[in-house]
Amino acid sequence: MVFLTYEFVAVAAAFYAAFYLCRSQIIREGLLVAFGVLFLFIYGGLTSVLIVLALALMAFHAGRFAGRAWNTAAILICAANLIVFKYTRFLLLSGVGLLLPSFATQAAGLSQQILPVAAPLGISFFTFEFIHYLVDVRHGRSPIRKLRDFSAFALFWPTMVAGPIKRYEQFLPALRTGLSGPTRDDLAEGLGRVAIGLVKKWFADNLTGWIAVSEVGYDAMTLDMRWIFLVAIAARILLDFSGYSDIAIGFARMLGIRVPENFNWPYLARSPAEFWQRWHMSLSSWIRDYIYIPLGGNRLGPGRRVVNGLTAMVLCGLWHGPSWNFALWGLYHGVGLAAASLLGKHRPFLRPEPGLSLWLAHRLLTSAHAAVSWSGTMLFVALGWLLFFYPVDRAARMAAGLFGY
Amino acid sequence: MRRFSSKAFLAGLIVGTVILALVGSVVRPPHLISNFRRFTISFNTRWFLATARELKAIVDATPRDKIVVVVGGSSVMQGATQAGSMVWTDALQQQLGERYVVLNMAQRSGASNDTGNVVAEMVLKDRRPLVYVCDAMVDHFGYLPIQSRYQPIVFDAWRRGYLIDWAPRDEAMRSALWSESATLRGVAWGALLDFALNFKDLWNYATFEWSGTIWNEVDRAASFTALRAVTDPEPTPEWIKANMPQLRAVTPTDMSLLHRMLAAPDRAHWSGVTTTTETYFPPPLRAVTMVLVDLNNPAFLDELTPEERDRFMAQARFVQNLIERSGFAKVAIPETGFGSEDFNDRVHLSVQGGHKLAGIVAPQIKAMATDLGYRP
Repeated sequence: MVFLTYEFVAVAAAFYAAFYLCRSQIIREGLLVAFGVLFLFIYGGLTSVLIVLALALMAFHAGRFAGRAWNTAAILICAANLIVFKYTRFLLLSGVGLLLPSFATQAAGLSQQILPVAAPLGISFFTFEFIHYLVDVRHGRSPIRKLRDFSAFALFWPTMVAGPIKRYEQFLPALRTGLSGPTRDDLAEGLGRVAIGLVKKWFADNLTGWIAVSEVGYDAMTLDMRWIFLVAIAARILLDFSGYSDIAIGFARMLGIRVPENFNWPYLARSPAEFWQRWHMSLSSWIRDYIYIPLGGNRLGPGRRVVNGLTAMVLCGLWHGPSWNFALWGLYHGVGLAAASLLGKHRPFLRPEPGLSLWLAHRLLTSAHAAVSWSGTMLFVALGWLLFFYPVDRAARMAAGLFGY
Repeated sequence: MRRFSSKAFLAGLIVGTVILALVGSVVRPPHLISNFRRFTISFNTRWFLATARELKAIVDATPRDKIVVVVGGSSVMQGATQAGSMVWTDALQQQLGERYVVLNMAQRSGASNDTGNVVAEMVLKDRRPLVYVCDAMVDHFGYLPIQSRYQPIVFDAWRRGYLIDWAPRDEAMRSALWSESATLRGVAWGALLDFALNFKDLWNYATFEWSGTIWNEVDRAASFTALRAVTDPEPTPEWIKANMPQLRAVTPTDMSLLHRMLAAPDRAHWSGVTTTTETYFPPPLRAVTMVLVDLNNPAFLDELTPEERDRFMAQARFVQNLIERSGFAKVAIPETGFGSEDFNDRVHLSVQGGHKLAGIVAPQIKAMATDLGYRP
């Protein structure tokens, strides 16, 4: 994690000092962009810098000056860029490989020689942000007028590596506030948020060590230890990812800039739909706005609604990495969302009734329903993490093991 | 109503950081210093590496009128597989007598130019009589900073001015801040930050004296236990005896390691070894250093072809000559008279082998001390 390196601490301390000391908004914005480029160069290399700058320039130009055709082309180029750098090998071996295995193997080998070893830093995040910008401008929203503002949006280093995924309509006013001078409250609350993130990371890293060593002996574990293991996996990913988000949000806040929240107590959710309203919110809302709704959302009947939901969730799963288990994890959640939506329609006994005894019965039933809903949702989510982290056959065996099989 | 006062929060943060930095600059774990025998795998492996200040405290705790013998290098020198109470450096101390004090600073996966090197230079800087004993392998001697897991100790010591001035090394340490390697940059920046904040000293103290702060995957039972309460985890002779067949079994991994040692070296490799040696060993240290070239368990070497065995020995002699040419006081191949019973596995000495090594090395150290003009 780049935020937890000594060199980042040293360089960021110098950056914050300069940002606070300088009074000019333009210079502050310049510092923000320059540090973004430096950050990208140090942790992603020259390739990342060049690709992000090229795409940013293209997106800015397409949004500001070009017509619909160029806008469409720019969206496609952004999406193609993500697919090429992140999914080429996966698509070749898992897609083309089914029909033409030897060709796919050769092509995958060639792609490894041509493409950089690692995809550009934060490619999944900046691609989604650029697409969001271009789509919103296409739908009539005002584009960003100044290149330096767009650069600050594209190269905003706190969210560059792992989000939250920003929306430019919210980011620009927040940027203006930050550039006018972060307050002491911003600094204090930002630092506090970073500290919370670090504590979460500490818990997560300890769990990671325990999980890495324990998973080897999973089959020999007692039943209760297997359940503890499952809880540990669920806790680890929440603490790790939300800790990272806390640090990113905290660093942004230290600049006086508020970025979207990413988590809102997701393990309190009482349905898969509520879980996705609380988990990785900047991604789930992006998927909703730029995949699910454009596909038709729930406007084209129940059948299409389910298909759209499944498509959106499979893509959401694949966004996490080029691997089948991520796609299946997305599909699993898509099915869960559809099933929960169906179940949610049949709750007649929960309607409040007049009279004390009926009111008490209603309260009792509501509480019982809430407990069952929460337990079911947590079981569903936790089992899903097995799919997320392990190959499908291993995940299935581990899940069966939880029930004594 | 305001949730909290940002002014008070920031003031508290600044004052707290300053206080913690000051505390870090003065605390030293007393149990590490007073009971020091050697570093073990329970600590000083991946996390909580000793700090330069702690090492200096260990050095300062030794009587000033004695000749200091610092043992550095790999797990062979550290006495891996020898129980704590039977480690070979205790035997060496006995053989050398009261005029000498032996400090075992070798590490598992360590090299001659990390912890031992640091402590030896601390002694030299104090103008105290020193003999540094370390080891070389038949295919390398010393590690580049990027190769050693103990480099944070070297950078920490360099940053705090405990090392001898040596321009080639100073330049390498300075340039590490801008190295292409993220790991090395992290180490260099970490040392720079710690120079001001002393957080490693503070954390080490808390972890050693009060409570472990991480889940310890190397020694799981010791997780969240104060490291002072963690015993030396090296196996007892009884355990070694019970597991001897497995330990001394020649595995394909062992053979591939031996073959790799023979296959790797070429002119560029040896040129790199010389450069590393001459960059990271200052000449005054070389002048008081005895290097022992580690051989391997003869039972394992017997698995090589006669031609490979000859090459192995020739390579050991080549390394000996190479190091000698760089100006080291003495370079020896001490294990030529060792049998398979002197080893616990391919390369680590048994208690018996350790005693034998101490018996061979002690007179040579004494001779070196005389040559160096130390008062007997």
